Amino acid sequence: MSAASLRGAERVEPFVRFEAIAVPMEGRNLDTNQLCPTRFNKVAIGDPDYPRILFHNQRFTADGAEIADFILNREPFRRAGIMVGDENFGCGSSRESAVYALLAFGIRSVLAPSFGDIFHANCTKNGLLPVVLPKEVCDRTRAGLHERPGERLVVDLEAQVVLGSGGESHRFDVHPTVRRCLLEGLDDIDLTLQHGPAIKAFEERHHRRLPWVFRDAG
Amino acid sequence: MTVPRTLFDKIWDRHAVTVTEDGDTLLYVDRCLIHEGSRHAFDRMEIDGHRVARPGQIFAFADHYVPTVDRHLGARDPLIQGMIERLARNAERHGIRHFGIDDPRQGILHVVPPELGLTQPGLLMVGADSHTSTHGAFGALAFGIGATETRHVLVTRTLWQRRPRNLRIEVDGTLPFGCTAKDLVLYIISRIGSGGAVNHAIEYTGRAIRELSMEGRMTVCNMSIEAGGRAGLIAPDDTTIEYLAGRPFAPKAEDRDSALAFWRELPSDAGAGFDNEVSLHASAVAPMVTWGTSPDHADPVTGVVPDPAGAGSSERRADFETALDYMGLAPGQPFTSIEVDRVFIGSCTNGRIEDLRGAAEVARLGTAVVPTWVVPGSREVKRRAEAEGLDEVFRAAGFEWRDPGCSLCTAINGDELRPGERCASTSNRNFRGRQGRGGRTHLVSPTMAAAAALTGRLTDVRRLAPGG
Repeated sequence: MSAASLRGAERVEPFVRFEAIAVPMEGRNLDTNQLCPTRFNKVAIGDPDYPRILFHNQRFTADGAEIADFILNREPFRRAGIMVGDENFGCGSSRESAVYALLAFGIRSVLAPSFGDIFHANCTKNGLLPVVLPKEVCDRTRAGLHERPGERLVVDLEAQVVLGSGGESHRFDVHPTVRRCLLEGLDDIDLTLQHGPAIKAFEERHHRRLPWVFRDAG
Repeated sequence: MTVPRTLFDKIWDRHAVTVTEDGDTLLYVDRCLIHEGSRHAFDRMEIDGHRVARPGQIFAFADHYVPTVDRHLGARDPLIQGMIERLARNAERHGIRHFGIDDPRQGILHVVPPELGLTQPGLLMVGADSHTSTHGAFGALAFGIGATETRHVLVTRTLWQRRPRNLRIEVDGTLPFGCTAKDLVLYIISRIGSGGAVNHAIEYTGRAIRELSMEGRMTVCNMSIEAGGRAGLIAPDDTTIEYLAGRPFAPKAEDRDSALAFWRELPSDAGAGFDNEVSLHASAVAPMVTWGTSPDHADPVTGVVPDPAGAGSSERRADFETALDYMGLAPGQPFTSIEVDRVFIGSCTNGRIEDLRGAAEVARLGTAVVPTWVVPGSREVKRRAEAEGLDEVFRAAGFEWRDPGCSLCTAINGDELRPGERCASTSNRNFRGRQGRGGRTHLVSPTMAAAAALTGRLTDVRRLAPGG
């Protein structure tokens, strides 16, 4: 994803079919604090150092030097565009900077058996496709990537399938709205604003029914 | 005849503006809570030329980035000072109520709204913070969202959501001596796991829940997200209604009857269906400590560091090994032998008046032997604590009495652990690096934290209590 789109100068970058080197990330409950340590939440999107934020505490020493054996610092994983994780990936804090950090590194899709709910939503709003696959598929895929570093995967949103270089394919479910917004790069605010009259009518009824809720709300 | 519905169903249905064929519901948002970190939402709105639709329903809090000591000097880091000022500017520009650093009501976004009566039964609330689940303690549907969804709410006062499933967690019986709401929720998470409630709204029921104060209920609902829950709710009852009475934003006399009638209708109907149910008994709860890097790595303080070899699957073994390696602990080590370098009492989980009262009661029994911070959740909590003389108790015991904010829970502004430092903390996350790079966190209750302060080790508070 280009810095320009991260700054929001254009709509979300569409996601149709993406092929890239995949990196296995071990560990259940991998939280968003690890994806983006808190002190980086204040960094402006589009900052030239943004690609260094992802897993910063594991990737770099306190002095900023690379920690050579961390997987994202090793070839070929430095060039990964797809991440394969484990259960409850992206749990914890709602920080959207976790998603910006993945995108800035070059990750456009994460495959895992389950995701933290808020992280999952944050991904889909920013053109990053979270793919839920059965645990045994994720476990096997990660093992294969350790054995054959550099293997490429294809994530095809149109066909809803993940393809491995060995010819295996895994279908995945994706909510129709998520699929459409990602395929077309839509910002759902535009869709919602089309419901303006319905919202207005609902709001008038709702405020009449629960007047105390809005009495001081201006 | 109507189909029996859960508390969650009733709030969801009442806020549904429209439902699409694909099952997306456009929900009307009654209250949206934001903080300094919400800048990304405003930055993008500026680019798109969008305005806040209903500023009166948005509430802004300076909490994540504010210094908790020497406030008059401002934040030392200009980037952080900039975040605080930017929130003030954005709030002013859009006509949003802002509880800024100098406001007498300043505090954490999950502590202040209940104090002001902004959090009420039956509301749909969202917040730019995962611990928004806290507000479910009042029988509101409340959950955290990211920056893009926050922008959506600001611009449209609505949010698209897919209906999560209903999970009931029933806790019967009464909490044993020395146990708090924090111990209860850590116990629950240790049983269902950090991902145990993903894609579920949790309703907590049963005697042990009903017997909790509002502060205790907030602690439980707060940590719903640590079990992966989309939200955590507790049905409103007399405790809820009494808590709200007389608060600035609570219904006034003219609305009281209609509000009460609405609130009384909210509890789940008899026979309402839950997608999943968990039954626990409060007698199994003990003062808890976490020993690893996930909130479900929790056990009673009377135990020992678990042996990965006995963890069951090879995956759990690897999970335990990695956690123990980071935490610098050895299997079999009694929890009460673990020495701590620091103690933190505060946060949106345990920074309320009841928490400080509990901690002060323990602080009276001795003197801190390690640096110990008490960070009230709000200025209101701070004022009340000072009126009750709790600040004097803390100071006399050598605890440091600071200004309100998120502080050492989010590790901003120098309020953080150094590499390898070990902290007994009343916060909500023991994730690696959460309290500072290389920092090691043991989650505990406020009374357990105070006990650790006095001994310099993880300590069973029941052994310190007079007569215990």
